Amino acid sequence: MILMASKKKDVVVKNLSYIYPDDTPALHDVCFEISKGETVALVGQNGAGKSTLLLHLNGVIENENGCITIAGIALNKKNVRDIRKKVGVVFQDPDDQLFMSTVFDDVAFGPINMGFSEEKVKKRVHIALQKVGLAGFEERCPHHLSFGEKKRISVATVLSMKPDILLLDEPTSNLDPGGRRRIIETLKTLKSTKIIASHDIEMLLEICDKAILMDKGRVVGTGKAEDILTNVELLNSHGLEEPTVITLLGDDAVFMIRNNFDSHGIKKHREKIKKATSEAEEKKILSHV
Amino acid sequence: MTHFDIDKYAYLKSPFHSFDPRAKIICFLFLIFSIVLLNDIKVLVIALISTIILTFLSKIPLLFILKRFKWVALFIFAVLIVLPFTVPGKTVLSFGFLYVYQEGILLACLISLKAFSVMLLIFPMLSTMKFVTFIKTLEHFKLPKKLVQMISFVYRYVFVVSNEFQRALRSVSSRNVGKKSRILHLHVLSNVIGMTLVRSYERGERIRTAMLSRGYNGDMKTLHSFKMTKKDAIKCSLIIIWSLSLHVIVLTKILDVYDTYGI
Ligand SMILES: Nc1ncnc2c1ncn2[C@@H]1O[C@H](COP(=O)(O)OP(=O)(O)O)[C@@H](O)[C@H]1O
Ligand SMILES: [Mg+2]
Repeated sequence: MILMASKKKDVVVKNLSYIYPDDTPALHDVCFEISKGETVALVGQNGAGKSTLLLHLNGVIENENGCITIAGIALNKKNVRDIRKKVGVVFQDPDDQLFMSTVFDDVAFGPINMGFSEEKVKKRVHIALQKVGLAGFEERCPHHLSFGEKKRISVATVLSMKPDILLLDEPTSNLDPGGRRRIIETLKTLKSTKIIASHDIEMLLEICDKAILMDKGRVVGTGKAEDILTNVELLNSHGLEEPTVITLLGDDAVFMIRNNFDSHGIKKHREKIKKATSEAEEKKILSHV
Repeated sequence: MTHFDIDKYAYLKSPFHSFDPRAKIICFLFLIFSIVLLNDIKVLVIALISTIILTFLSKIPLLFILKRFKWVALFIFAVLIVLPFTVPGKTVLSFGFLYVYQEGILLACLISLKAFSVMLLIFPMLSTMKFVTFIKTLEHFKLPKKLVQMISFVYRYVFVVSNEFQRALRSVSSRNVGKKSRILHLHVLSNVIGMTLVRSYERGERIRTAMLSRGYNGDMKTLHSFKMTKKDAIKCSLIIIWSLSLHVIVLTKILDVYDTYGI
């Protein structure tokens, strides 16, 4: 028992299948486990079922067969409201996520529904906006914001609910490089368990610990992010393409991406490898002698 | 992309910008109704002058107001042209078979004075606060929740949807290189309209999903922090007193006293 408790499972999905009302099969026998605090990449080409899976985890789509366990509690009709407090979803299109007329109202929407006092709501909003680097945007209207700002506000609307588990659907799609970088840096600072659905493999490599590869509603690969996301053959066979850096640099690429191409860090990294290999060679020679 | 911009100047600083929105709306509505109920030309002129002063105090740029005045001015112009000929009474002038009546002129003046005053008052009342604040004030006044939510959603999404429509239209016209046929055109246009409707419906579904996932349970709650200060109370009373005095002027016939002295 003690051994099992040492690695707490935050999300457990077993045998989850789903067919949309119009007979489109979306998920087929999906199984995986995620531990507390992990950042997990959910990769797959368009239509692989990533969004559908995320909607299940938040209980927006009711699971008809299969079993979803969130923080040790099996998700069902009765506890779906409580689960939603624990699991926050950031949807792909910020215009869907931001439905109120001011940024404040939007970020406050979740906390108000959770029944907090006015003071606590204000505090939550303030902290959430600070975390995404947009403090002072409270009174702005969403339709006067840039796409990148809207995207970060979307993240804030969920952060204000302080979810244990954060689900993000394509957080970097349609963003310019600057906006993409800001979102990535924001995500890096968040400590909760995260599931990030995307096909931006470079971004996933930079921030994720684990990866789940999906294709046509099935899970076709799980493992460490750097193993799955650099497996060129695996990616290609499921309609995905590895980032160009991997083609060019091979193993070094993972390190470079993880460190956001920080040239100083890379130099150090190379020296370390050189030293390690030369030491290993020395040892080899010595053992021969 | 154009924005709904009645609140374009909501960030300025003036006695009306700092006015508590609830008090502001109440006293301005009071003033508007009392002006609408006036039927004395001289008092209406005084009322119009006072509304011009109020508008001036609100610091809303004149050009902004004039631009939005176009349509009202057109309507008033039509009234001014038509009424003198159509409301029968004492004849003042005649062009052949057309007669100009005194009652008609009087009525046209009354209507246009009222219309101008009321239109002008909209600016110090609504343009001095954000539209969102206005929506919240409506909510505060206990207007039906569904109505307030609807206004709020329309305000939020009208440009998203119109953008989608324009994008679709543009993509159609950019590919329209062949012969122009009117029937084909209508056919394409109806397709674009249909697509926009379907998209809006789907967006509605996605928004509902987003609302549900953040704990929506049929009740949209927001925080509002209206604060009524002593200054607000004073401003509010001043405007209400002024509205009443307009009627007092009419009732006590003060202006007629001047008339008898030949002024
Ligand atoms: N609302 C819906 N109704 C019917 N089919 C849908 C709906 N949403 C998605 N699908 C279908 O379900 C499959 C998985 O979609 P989705 O989960 O959106 O994939 P992804 O997010 O990985 O691109 C696709 O074949 C898609 O066409
Ligand atoms: Mg998707």
